[in-house]
Amino acid sequence: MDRRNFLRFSAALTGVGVGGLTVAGCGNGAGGAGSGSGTIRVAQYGSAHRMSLFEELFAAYSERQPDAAFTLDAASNDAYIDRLATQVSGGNAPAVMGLFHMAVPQFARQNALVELDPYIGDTLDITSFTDGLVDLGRINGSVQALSYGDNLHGSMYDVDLLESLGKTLPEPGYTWEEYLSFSADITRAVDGDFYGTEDRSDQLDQIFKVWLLQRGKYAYEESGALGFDQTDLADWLELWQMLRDEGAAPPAEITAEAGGTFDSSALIRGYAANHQTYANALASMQALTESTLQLTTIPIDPEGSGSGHFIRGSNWVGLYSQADNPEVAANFLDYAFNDPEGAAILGAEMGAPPNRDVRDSLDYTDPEQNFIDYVDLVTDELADPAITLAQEFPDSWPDLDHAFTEAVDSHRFGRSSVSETVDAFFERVASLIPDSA
Amino acid sequence: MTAVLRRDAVEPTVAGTAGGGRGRQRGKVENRWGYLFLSPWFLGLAVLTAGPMAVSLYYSFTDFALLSEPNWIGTANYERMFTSDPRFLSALSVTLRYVLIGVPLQLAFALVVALLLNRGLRALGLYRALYYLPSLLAGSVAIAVLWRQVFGLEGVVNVMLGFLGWENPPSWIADPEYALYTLILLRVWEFGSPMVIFLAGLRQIPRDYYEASSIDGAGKLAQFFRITLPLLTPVIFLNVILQLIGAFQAFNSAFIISDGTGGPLDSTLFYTLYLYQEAFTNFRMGYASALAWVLLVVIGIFTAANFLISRYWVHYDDGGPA
Repeated sequence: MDRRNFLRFSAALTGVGVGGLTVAGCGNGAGGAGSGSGTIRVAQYGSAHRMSLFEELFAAYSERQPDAAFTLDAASNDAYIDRLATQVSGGNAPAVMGLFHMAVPQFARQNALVELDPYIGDTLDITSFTDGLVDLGRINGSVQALSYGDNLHGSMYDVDLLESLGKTLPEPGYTWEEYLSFSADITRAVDGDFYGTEDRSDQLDQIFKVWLLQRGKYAYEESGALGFDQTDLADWLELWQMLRDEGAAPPAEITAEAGGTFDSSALIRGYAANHQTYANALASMQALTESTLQLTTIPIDPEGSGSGHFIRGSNWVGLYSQADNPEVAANFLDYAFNDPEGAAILGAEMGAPPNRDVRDSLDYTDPEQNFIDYVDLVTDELADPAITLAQEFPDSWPDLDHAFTEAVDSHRFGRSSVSETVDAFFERVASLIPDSA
Repeated sequence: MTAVLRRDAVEPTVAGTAGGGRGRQRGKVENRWGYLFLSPWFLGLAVLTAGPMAVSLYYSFTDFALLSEPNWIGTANYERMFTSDPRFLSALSVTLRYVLIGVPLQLAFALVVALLLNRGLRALGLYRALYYLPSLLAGSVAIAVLWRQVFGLEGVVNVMLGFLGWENPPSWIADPEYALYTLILLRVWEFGSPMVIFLAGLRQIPRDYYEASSIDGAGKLAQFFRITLPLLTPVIFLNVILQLIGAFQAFNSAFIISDGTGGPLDSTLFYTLYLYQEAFTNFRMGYASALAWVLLVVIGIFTAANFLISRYWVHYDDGGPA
C-alpha cells in the first residue's frame, strides 16, 4: 500500500468509526422505554442471588404469557440509583424500576413514575395486602410505587452467644430498662472489646424513629416541618450516654470502627451481641455468620404512646412514566405479588410477601421463617400506624439525615456537650427547614 | 501594516512560477491530511472534554437535579457554597490539610529513597520496580480496604504498638482526630512515581561536580545542599505540580475507608467525595457542577502561585559542564 492509498484507507476507517458511533447512539435512543416487541426492561439492585430469582420469575411469567419478554438491568446497591436517575434524565429508563424507599418520593416528585391508581383493583389486586400499606406510596394524591414486601424495624441477636451466657432472646416488647441491664450483663460476662448492644443512635432512619414514635412523634410532620424538638434530642443523647457509661454499649471509637454495612456491622465484626436494623436483613446477616441469629423488637417504653414499630415497605417498585406498556408491566407486578407461583419464587427475598394469604402459604428457609413470624407478630399485635414515604422523606431529608448523624457523632466522641449539640443541630435545621426552628 | 500589504502585493510575481504554485498547493493538501490525522483527537477533545466542560459550566448556574429539567438560577449555587454550606468549608479544609501536609511529606520521602537508590546499587532495576509498586497499587480499592484493616482497632499497627507497651491505642481509622492522617500516610506510601522522576533527575547531574567539590574538601552534606538540591530544583518543581494536582483530586482512598461518608465527623470528607455525594447521592447536579468549577479555580490558583514562586527557587542549569 503506497502512502496515498494508506491515507485514503485510514480516512475511510475514521469515517466508519464516526458513523458507527452515530448509529450506535441512535440505536440506544430508539431502545427507549423498554418498548419493542413486548419486551419489558426491569431494573433491580441487590445481590447475584436476587438477580437469579428475578430471571427465574421472568421465565415463569413468560410461560404464562408467551408474548412477554424481559431484560434485567441489574446493579449492586452502590451503583444503582445514580445510574437509574441518569437513565430517567436521558428519557431511557427501564419500565419497571426497583427503588430504595427514599428514592420513591424523589422520583415521584420529578414525575418519573406512573400513577398506579387506575391499575389498582383492576390489573393489580391488593385486597389481601396489609391494611393501609398501599397508601404509603401515595405521593401528591396518587399511588406511585408499591413494595415487593412488608418490613419492620427489629433487633437481631446472636442466640448461641446468649445461650452460652445462660440468657434468652428478649421477649418482643421488652422495656428500655430491661435492655440496659440485659446489655450491661452481657458486656460484663464477655472478655475483651465486646458489648451487649451496638450503638446506632446516629442513624435517623433506624432505631431513633422507633423511639421517637413511642413518644408519639415523627422525624417529620406531615407538613414537612421537623417533628421533634430540643428536649427529644437531648433525651436521646442522654439515653445513649447512659448506655455507654453503664458499659451496655461500646464507646464511640468502636462504633465508628464497625461501620454501617452488613459485613462491617458490630455483630459480624464481633463487637456486639446484636444488630438493630430493618428486620428483612436477617437472612443476609445470617449468611455472614456461623452463629444463629434471631429477631426481636427494639426496646419499648411501657409508658409510651405505642410500640413505635411501624410497618414499612422493604424494597419498592414503580413504573417509568415514559414506558410504552405500563399495563403489561402492572400485570407482571401482579404476578410477582399475588400469584402463588410468582410469589413463591421471590419468597422472602424482597421482604414479607405483601399478599397475606400467599405469605401464609409459602415455604421458607429458617431465617426467612423467623423474619416472617416476626413481621406477622408485630403487624398483628404491636404495630403503630404506618407513615407515608412522602412524610418520611421530604426534599430536605439527605441534609437532615447528615446533620443528625453529625450531631450524635459529635456528642458521642465528646466533642460537644448535650446542650451544645442540641443548639448546633437546631441552628442547622433552621437553615435546612425554614418553617421549623 | 504597510509592509504586509506590500509583501502581499509583491507575492504573486515572486511566487508566480509554476513550481512555487505547486509547492503551495501541496502544502495545503498536506495540511488537510494533517488535520484529518488530528481529527480523532480533536473529536475526542470536543466531545469528551470541552463539550462536557461547557455543559457543566452551564449547569453550575442552574438547579439541575438529574431527574428534572435545569432552571437558570444565576449565581445562587456559588452563593450557597460560601454563605450557608458548612460541609463545603469542612471539605475544603480537609482537602487543603491533605494536600499541604501529604504532598511535601510524600516528595521528601520519594527524594530520600531516590538518593539511596542512586548510590549505585547492583540490582537497581529490581529495587526501582519494587519501590514503584505501591504507586501502581495505592490508588486501588484493594489497598484502601487493606489500609482499613491495618490501621483499625485490632489492626497490625495496633498489635505492634501493643508489643511496644502502648495499651489500648486508638482506632486510627475511626477516630476523627487521626483518620485523615492515615490517608496522608497512604499518600506518602505512593512515593513511587515522584521517586522515579527524582531518580532520572539525579542521573542528569554530572559526576564532575561531585569530583571537583570533593577535591576542594566538600563533605556529603555540603554536596547535597550545594550541588544536588539546586540542580534538582526543576525536577522537584515538576513533581510538586504533578502531585499537588493529583492530591487535590484524590477520591478513592477516602471513599473506601469511610464507606463513602467522609466520616467520622466529616474528618475524611475530601472535596471530590463531597462533590460526588452531592451529585450522585443527592442528585444536586447543578450544585455539584459549581463545586467542580470552584475546585478547578482552586487548583489553578495553587498551580499559578507555584509558577510565580518558582522564579525564586528553581535553577535551570543551562550551561552544563565546560
